[in-house]
Amino acid sequence: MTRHMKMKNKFLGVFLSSCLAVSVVGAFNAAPSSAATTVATVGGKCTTLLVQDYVNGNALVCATNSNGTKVWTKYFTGGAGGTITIGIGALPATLEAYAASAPPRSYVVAAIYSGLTRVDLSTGTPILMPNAADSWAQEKGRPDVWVFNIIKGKEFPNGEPMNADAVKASLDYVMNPKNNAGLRAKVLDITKIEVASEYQVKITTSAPRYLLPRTLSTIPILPPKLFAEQGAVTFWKTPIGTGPFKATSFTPGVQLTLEANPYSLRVKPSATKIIFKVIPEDSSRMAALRSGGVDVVTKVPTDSISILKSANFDIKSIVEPATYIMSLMAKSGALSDKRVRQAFNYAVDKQALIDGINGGLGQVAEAQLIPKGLTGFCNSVTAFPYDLAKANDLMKAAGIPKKSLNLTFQSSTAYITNDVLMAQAISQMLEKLDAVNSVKVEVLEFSKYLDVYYLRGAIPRKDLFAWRMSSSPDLDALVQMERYTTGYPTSNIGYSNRNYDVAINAAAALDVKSTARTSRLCKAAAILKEDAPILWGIHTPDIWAGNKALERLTVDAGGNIDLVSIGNK
Amino acid sequence: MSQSNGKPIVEVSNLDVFFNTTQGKLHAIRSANWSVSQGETLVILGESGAGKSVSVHAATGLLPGTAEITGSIKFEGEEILGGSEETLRQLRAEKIGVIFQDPLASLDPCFKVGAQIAEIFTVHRGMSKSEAWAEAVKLLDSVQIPDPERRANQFSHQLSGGQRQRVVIAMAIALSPTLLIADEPTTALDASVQVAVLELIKKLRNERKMAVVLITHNIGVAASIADRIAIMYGGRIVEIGDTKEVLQSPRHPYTQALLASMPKIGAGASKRLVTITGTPPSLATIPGGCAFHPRCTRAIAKCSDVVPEIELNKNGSLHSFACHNPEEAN
Amino acid sequence: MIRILGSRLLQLILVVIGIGTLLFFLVRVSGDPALAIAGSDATAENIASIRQSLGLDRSILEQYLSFLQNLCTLNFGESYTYLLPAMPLILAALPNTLYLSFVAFLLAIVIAVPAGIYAAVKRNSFSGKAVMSISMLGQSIPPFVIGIFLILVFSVWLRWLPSFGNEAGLSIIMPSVALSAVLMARYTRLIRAYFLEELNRGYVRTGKSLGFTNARIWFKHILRNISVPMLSLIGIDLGKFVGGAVIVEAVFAWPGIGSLMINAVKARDYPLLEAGVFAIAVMVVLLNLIVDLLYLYIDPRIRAKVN
Repeated sequence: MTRHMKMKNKFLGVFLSSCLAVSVVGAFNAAPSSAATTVATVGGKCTTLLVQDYVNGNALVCATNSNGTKVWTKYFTGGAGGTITIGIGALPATLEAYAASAPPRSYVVAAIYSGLTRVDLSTGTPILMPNAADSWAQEKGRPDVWVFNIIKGKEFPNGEPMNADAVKASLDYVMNPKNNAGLRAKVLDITKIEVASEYQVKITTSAPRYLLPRTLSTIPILPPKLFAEQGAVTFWKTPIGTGPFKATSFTPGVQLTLEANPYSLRVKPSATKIIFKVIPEDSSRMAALRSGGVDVVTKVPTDSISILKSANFDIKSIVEPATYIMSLMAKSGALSDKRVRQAFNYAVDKQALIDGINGGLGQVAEAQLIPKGLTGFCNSVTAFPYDLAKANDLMKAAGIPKKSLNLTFQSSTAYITNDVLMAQAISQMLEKLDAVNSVKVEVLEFSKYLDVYYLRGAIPRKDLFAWRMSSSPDLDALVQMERYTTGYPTSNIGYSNRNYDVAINAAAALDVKSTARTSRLCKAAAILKEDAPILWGIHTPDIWAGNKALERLTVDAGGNIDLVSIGNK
Repeated sequence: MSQSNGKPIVEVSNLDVFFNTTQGKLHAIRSANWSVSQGETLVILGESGAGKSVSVHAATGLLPGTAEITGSIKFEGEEILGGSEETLRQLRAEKIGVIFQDPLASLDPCFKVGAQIAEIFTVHRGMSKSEAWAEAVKLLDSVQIPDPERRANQFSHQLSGGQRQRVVIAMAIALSPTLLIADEPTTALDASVQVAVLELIKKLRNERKMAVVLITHNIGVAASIADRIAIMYGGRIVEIGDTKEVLQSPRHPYTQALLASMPKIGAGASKRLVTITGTPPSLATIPGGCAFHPRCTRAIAKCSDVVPEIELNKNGSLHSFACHNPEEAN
Repeated sequence: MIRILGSRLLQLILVVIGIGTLLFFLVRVSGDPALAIAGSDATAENIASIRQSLGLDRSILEQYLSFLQNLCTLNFGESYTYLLPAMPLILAALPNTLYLSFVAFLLAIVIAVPAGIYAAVKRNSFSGKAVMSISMLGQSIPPFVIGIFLILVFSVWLRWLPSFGNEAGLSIIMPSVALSAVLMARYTRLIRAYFLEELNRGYVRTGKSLGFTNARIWFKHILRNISVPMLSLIGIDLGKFVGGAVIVEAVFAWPGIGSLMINAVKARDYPLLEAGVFAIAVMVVLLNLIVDLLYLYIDPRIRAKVN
């Protein structure tokens, strides 16, 4: 590629992202009003759909140009070719489509299969894209019914057509409790799936569910006959799908090879082959990158960043769509007083956690349950500032005598980035409070940690329990906030506030786009911050590194690498 | 008994051997002079620690690397002292056979005895394995091992003590050496077998015209095989001469005492055994003057100060001794 | 011979049942695999249904009896994580582990024998002492650290060798060196000690008196003799060797059973764990059998006793 072209591309990128930043606001969940497919051409005018995903190998973006009109603009031109090898800490043990929706499972699922929709996070803001569905809309007067128009003229690699029957069969499978699909939790509200015509599906939910099109992005559509004939277990061994890639070889725990899928619904990937190599040891994985054995690595440890930078590797640090938080046991004792819980929030210097432990990467979490960018985020509810004097005053006001508190802090080890280091640092910060005598860090081995999390084992939750609240991009604030409603099972820390419950229940029944919903959620968020059943920490960084010869190494806010765009220079 | 009539095989003169140890330099052999000729048997007799083995192995190069050797050792007329390790190895391979005290330890427990003998032929004669094996069986037969084929296929632990020593002898004479060194060859054996082994050595010596140097502490063994006897004490040869003269007319009081301590066949019960008082010195604590003087019944004042030199070929006699106050000649 | 085989077979059965039982109860007190399988999105109902489908809702005794039954038929069921029969998964990874272990072992012997002999023969010289110092170092550095060090030097810096996986023929070099280093160092020291002891043996003196070269005496006779005590040590080491292989496999992303087992422990994948431990137990017992048979070959005294 010539220098001139590079400049041009760069300009295009800047231009597009600035345009998108403006035009995307408020347009989430936009769907074409008619089912007719718009044939997009570069420079042609566009109106409703913001991004025409992957037409003829090119991604087209409906962006506002300098004249103020919306036109189709090339996002990138694929087909640079080459083999990209990715050194990954762990791969899913199977190519199951319905097990989970978080990385690293999502890398594989999104590559091989297609859901009805796709959430694009490449611009920094979630944009719902067509996938197996060309378009979708709520039925008039029925906010509990969504109509999906399926892409026409496409088939699965075994010849089965991609149509409404395939969609229904796939969703039925996930919803059937017998099948133990991990993703069933996402479709619990669906009450009916109707095949309206060959290319139209109507999905009814128990109550209006404005997030449904987004949720369905995580549920792949499979060839129904083959899947039924083979049975799930056999199908997962050599699965086929309509994603941009097909899995050409898979050795569990060792390697996965992806190659361009001729049956891809939307796009032809840039690379001809993508190989995931499992290298569980952090230092070995970094060495594999430095030795040229792999082109990209996941989960770069904080202490490797400077070495990789000085060796001229690209570092991609994203803020994980996850929040490192500590549940505070509010059932009894000093922590049942919200002033004490607030004091803890004031006493922790979050920026110091980022600078001191995470190499300056990551982001201070606002006092909310989701990161910025997901729907339901409230700009008005911000983080507790670091203010030790105020914290001490609050403790005094709560009547906690000096040096009277002996606390226990439960932490995982090597589960959340730098978890033990952060637990130790936070303990030391809390020990600076006049009323706190000691904070003991209790490091839990992973299976024990899970038992404590699920409140199943012999070990009870102690005063502070650190965990990671992850938010997949198809979620919004509501899903996470429900965890703190009265009686929610896995977050049972004795917190209960009726006003909070009311606000959450009200928001649940409202349209995602409605301002009423946003204000209800914001009200609930403010209550939660005031009550502080949580000690808010930071959004941990997810750090990737790649060699400079790569083009378009991008990792989106969901922690997913863009396998379609990545290529060699 | 054969007579020394052939050419000299080994001539040792003014041999001194020192060992460098952590306790300092040990003077193990002091001015040793001896020789042995073709077909002749020299027995070196003495108590343990007298330096018998050291004086002999100085000639084979089998002393440990810490040994410092001065003087002269001529093998078939050629000076070998100071020669290269390789020359000595060649010498051991072709000219010298050695029999050690403990035949079980001398054999490799992991190989068939036939294979161990055959190895000599494959290594030094370049024979094929089957040729070497046949030769080994022949050799076992010549050392009077019954059923040699079967024995060749056995391991050392499956043989009796006498058979083992015969195997060791077979290995020692495999390449028809001119010198056979037998270091206490019968000590580890039953009395009944001892005689047979000595007879075998004698027979082989006569057949093959070997010079034999036999080391023993047993006067009976010495008497039965020796042409000449050298008596060692405290690292020195104190008396040397024809067997008959040394045994019948010992001049050194130590030889005298040694003979007196031995039961004599046919001597009857009337003659009492006399033990030597005191213990033999270790090489590290050899007394000044005559090393034997603290235990000697005939010691005179001079004995504790002046080392008595052995006078070789005095008045043309082959019987020599090192004593200031020798026993009367019979 | 048949008696040895018979007793080994009995031993194998006892070892497998013993280890299997221990493992069975240990993993079951460690936690619930259903949680690990279900993942973070799962509902409580989901988890219960998984427990039922895995038979984890039955009593421990029932589960144990069916486990014993599985042992007899060598059917360990399907891996919870991989959704594939557990034994074939293990068997597919086993050749890689055996290959790595075999090469590492061979390397340890090939280096340790001359190094040990050299250190013994040159025990008073600088170079002999240097060999001992290096082996002391090799014995005290964990394989993990050696592995990372090798990767940094030969993959990152020199770029001569691949740092992970088992694709190129050269891939075996670094893992086997890392795995064998401890053994190599240990055997060098042992061979030196045994060698020094053997140097004073009568048969060595005999060999010298026969005019054999040092090389012949050292490599043919002494080596054969010290291989008897070495073998018994090797027998003991085999079990430890498997432990080392697990760590080295992780460092080099070597596709063997070590990597599988680590994942199985994390995911509480009982069938895979049970199949893996079974395979390792059989392997160790079989290798010990080979060691015993080698004993017979090398030491005729033992052979005589057996016959």
